[in-house]
Amino acid sequence: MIFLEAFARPLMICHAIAAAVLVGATTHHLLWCRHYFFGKYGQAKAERRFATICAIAFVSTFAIGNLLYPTYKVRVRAEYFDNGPAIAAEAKLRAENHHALGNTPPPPMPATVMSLSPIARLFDIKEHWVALGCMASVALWILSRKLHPKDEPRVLPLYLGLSAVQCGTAWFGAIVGLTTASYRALGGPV
Amino acid sequence: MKPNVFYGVCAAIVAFTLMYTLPIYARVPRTFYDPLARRWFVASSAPPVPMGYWGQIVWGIAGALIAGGGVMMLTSRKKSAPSDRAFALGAAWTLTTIAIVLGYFTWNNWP
Repeated sequence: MIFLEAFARPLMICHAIAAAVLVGATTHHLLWCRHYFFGKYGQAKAERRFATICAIAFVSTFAIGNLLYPTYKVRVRAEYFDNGPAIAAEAKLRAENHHALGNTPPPPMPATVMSLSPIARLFDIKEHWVALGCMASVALWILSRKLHPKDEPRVLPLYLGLSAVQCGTAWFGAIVGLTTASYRALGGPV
Repeated sequence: MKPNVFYGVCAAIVAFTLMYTLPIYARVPRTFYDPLARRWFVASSAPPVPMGYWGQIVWGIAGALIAGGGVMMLTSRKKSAPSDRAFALGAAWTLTTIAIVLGYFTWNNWP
């Protein structure tokens, strides 16, 4: 048994919920920070609270994702995405089931079944982006507590930059995560 | 204000990004976990299944703690606030390092 494989599904659900909170919170945070461009710090208290929520959500999402990683690495990456025969067998089985159901015309079978390694590599890019995003989120939280732009406006470029990194990496992580999960769930082109 | 916080945060971010990249770029040994054999080992590279990601994160966190903590200690006695130039340079170096490292991993793994 792979480490935490027995809990993979509940962990996946927790990961998805934490990621949804993360995407919402980081987007809110970045949007609220735009007022600082014009020297308006009226929402600083709420924005600080959002920085805390973002950091907690990012660290939680990242930690749960890392707990899932051994299962992904073996069951999804090695046994499916990088395994051409497994993808071909599944595509064939799905096509046969389309014929068996008979209600809808089956999608045309591709001439050659491609490996899903490009999707796995996209996932690799995502894991590096979110590692840096998590670090940016923690740094942003420290700045929000110790050196906020309201008290020192010259820190604003760094503050806004980190907020943008935090938001961008959270969105990228969510989109790539959903894309990766969709291949087994929806079938999709192979 | 505490000027050492700014220097410490910038140093921690730059160190995290560089130390996180170092094991991949320079093939420095890092910790791998083999989920099939359920064992840990240290190597500079491994077959596809063993995961080096956790070891890479450890390198990054260690770099951030050492550099961030060290710079904060060194600058803790500094009474004056960082100059405008220091703020601009700190932000520029920090954000540029993040952008370069994001680009490096995107380029290296592009499908």
